[in-house]
Amino acid sequence: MSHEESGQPTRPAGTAKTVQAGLLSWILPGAGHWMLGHRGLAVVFFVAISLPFWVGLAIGGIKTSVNPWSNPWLFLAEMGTGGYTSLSLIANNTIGGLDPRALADPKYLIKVSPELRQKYLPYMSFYPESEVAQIYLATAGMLNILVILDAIARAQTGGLPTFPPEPEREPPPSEAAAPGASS
Amino acid sequence: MIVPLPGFLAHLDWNPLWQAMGGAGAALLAWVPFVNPVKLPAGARLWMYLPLTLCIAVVYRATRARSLEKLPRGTLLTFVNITVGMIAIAVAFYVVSRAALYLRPVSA
Repeated sequence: MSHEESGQPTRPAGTAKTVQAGLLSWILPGAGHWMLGHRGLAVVFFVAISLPFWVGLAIGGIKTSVNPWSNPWLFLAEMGTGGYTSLSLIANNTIGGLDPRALADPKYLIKVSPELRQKYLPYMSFYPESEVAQIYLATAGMLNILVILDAIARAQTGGLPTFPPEPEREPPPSEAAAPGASS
Repeated sequence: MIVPLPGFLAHLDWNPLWQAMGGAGAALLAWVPFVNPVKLPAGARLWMYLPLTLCIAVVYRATRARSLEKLPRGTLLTFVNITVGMIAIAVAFYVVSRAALYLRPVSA
């Protein structure tokens, strides 16, 4: 029986394994938990983080949604899912032959020729789609930070969650012996 | 900075039909997932809230779980709590906005 099934903590991992768990979780959601032996939790985290990230990216489009020049704060939040965001940024730079910095400035579209504008527009998302995409992507990134911290905590404590619930207390000896003692 | 693609990938035009044709049918044909944005149907923005809340509830509960047995019930409880809370906040803001409109000074 694994410690995930039993719910009992095992030996805490060393510093190297703790760092490894955190880094793996940053690269791929759930990978850190998988390495620590929490296979079920790893699948749950992978699905619950990947779903909002890829849905957000599909709604907003890669050109405007993963663009550090258009919204640096959003990009910072997205970097919570480091592996996905890094891949998306590389793809952003390669696909379509359009500079993402040009797409970051809405005024740029007004200045360019109608032909070039037509080339840019299919890659750009606007309100309300852009807003939904931003919320989904930022939430996925921030949730993955929670998952990274949880992977680190579980590695350090040998399987206990970040905020373990209070263990059920055993009654004090005086209360436990009360029925017999009173008579 | 535009990073050039290696080999044959560099010669691929990722969106060739878009430029060649016009109209919605052509747009659908030329649509590349994750590259071209999706146009959401009217009113869909509100319902997009539900799957995101479910994901938040799952992750939050999973970070507190010792085992997976109690996760579905805990997730459901958190999901309902967040949803009811958000509805309550929405109702409260609606009441405040209506009250502000009702109480505003009438200009001559």
